[in-house]
Amino acid sequence: MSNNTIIIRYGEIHLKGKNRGVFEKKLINNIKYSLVDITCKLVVDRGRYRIVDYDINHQNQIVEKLSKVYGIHSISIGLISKSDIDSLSIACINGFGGGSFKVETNRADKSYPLTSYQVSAQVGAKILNSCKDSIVDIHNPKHIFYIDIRSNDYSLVYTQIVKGQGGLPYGTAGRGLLLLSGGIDSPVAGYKISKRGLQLVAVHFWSYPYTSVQAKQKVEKLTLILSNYCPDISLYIVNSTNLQQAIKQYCDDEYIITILRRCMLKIAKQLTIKLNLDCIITGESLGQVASQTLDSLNVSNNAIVDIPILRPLISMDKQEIIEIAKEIDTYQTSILPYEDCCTVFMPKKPIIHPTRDRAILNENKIPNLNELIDEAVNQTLQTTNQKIVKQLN
Amino acid sequence: MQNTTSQRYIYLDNAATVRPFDSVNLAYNDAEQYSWYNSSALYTPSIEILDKIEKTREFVANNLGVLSSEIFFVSGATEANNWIAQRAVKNKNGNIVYSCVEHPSVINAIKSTTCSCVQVDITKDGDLDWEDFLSKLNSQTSLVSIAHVCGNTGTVNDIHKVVQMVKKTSPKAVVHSDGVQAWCKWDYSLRDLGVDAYTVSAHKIGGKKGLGILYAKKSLSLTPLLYGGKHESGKRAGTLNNANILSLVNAINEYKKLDISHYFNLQQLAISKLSKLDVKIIKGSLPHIFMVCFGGKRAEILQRVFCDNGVIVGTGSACSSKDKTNSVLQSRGLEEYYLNGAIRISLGPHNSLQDLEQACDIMLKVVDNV
Repeated sequence: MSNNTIIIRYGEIHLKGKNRGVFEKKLINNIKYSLVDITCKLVVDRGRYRIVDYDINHQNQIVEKLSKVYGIHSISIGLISKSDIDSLSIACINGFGGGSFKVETNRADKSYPLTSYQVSAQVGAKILNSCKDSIVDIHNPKHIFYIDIRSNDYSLVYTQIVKGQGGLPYGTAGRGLLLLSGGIDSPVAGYKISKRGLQLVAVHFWSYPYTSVQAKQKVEKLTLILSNYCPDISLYIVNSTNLQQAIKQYCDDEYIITILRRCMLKIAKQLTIKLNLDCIITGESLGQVASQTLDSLNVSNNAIVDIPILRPLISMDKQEIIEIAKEIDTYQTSILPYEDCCTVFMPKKPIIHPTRDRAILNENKIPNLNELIDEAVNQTLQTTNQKIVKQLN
Repeated sequence: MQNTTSQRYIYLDNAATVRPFDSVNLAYNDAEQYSWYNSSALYTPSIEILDKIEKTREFVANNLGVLSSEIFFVSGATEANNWIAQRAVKNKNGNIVYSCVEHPSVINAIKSTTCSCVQVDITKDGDLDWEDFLSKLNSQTSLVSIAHVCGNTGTVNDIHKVVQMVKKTSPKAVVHSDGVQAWCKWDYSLRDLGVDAYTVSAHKIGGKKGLGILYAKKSLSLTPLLYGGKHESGKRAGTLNNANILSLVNAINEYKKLDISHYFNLQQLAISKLSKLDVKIIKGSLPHIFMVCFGGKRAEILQRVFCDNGVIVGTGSACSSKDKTNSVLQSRGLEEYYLNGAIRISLGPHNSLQDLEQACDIMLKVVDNV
């Protein structure tokens, strides 16, 4: 058996009280799921998990996958060692090429005969003696050797700490419907909220032939990228062509977008109820465009009152959103030039401060609005939704 | 799964690519099965294949009215255009003159050089603006690249006149013409045109994709774009694609079977039928390619709806259809009301009168749904 190990630390779960077990159990499941196609074993310690028995060639791949699992605070690649000074020193020296360094020791096992400081000093001396060109620098070292003494029998030695996603384990905060447009914002909204443990189902409004097959493929691709974080995410496609044509035909030009968004939320509400979900998530950011002013958000909200709409990006600048989109790899797909809403349905000048009364007045002009909405919902549910779940070996 | 694509649709986007002729596919498959040897090896099968390839080169050279030593097989028109832009320009301080109807593989290739690039406009009739052209030439001009036929409108540029003008004002300049949309549509000789370099492509005449041909005049000093083995007289490295080349003669012969009058008949039928609608037709002297601009419509939506109903048309030139505006049509003074609804119809050897009649009926029927 190799003594290589990957150390996983969780973050916010520490704060949990009596229900901590629920979160831990979910996290363990999610970790196992993320590594399902790699041969390895998960060892569960208190507050700290480790991956062992893996092929060393898969090491980076494992870290990469773990770095996308919500609830993990940090990850380290390390070695399992015996706790005596000689063994700890050998574990440190192994693969060390020289340069400035320091040793940091932590004793979980307080019965260990030496203090943390003594361990660091003694191991440091051994490293100095056996590696030419090495020098101790406790303020600004090039290398830090972390020694974690778990018990008299075994310790962990590692040099790097890779930041994890943080957040709470996926699937511990309920389930929500993400409105996914294909733009930059909505995938980021899905990422941000699922990081708090919310399980996601995505929905896209598609108005073929006014928007293209490529626009739909783009949203499918975004869903696939999100599935790196939300392993079971699925995507529903709502055909909104008839609805958009009716809105264009009957409503005031400047209210087209307002009414469309209200209708999208009405459809989303029905889907939320029928799919047994708990909330709706949008990528709106206050004041970003005409349809995201406070008045516009208010008038949209009014269309459905009894289901919470979460807007994780509400206070974020576009640039901040773009940076996250780049980090999670959705940006390049989001900026592909396939429109999510055809310019045919764009008003020349959308209203910036709509009112609820005028919105309702406009909606009432569409003779069969409720049927159009019901039809869209039913059609969506009849079409088999595409589970964008990674193929498991 | 049976490939039904070419059966199910009436295909009117032949300027993008032409369905390979059956005889081309046969020759191709035959070559893949029996003539797969590396043509530069020294054993008998290779020698025989190289012999066939050289006969093809001879055939192409005769077709274009030049020497076979001036014909180079490359991976496609894009490579040929890049080759000229990157390796034929000797005077790095001179300017490069091109027209606004050039393919992106010409425009982007010359823009990647250190030379300054100047664009020549076209007139409202679609012809090259000769006055503008002359004003942009000078004694230091290093390369002139003008397409033989505009890929949007079928306008034929007078390349002979281009060469005459350039030789007078800019004797050092290399004159190149992208002849992709012209080749095999009528008979002409490159010797008569007088160009230094000329590009054509096999798949635009019903041959295979992945085969382009560059004509480079003997006197043109052209260094390789791709280095490697001594293929193509040491000018273009890379193992030759036997099957693509050995099926080319079939494509040329088949494509030239149909007289140009056939295409005029097809074009006339389409125009007379579609003119019942609120459209503007933009065409040139070659009947194969023309634009039908639907008033108040969006081209990409028309394209999707027509396709769903069994008719494939183009929007602009397929390679550049992602560009938002069509500069050729703007130059021709088309107002925005028609500009946004501009689809390209390009006819090919597989289109019959009945096909076109049916396609127009479908377009007439469904256009109001958009």
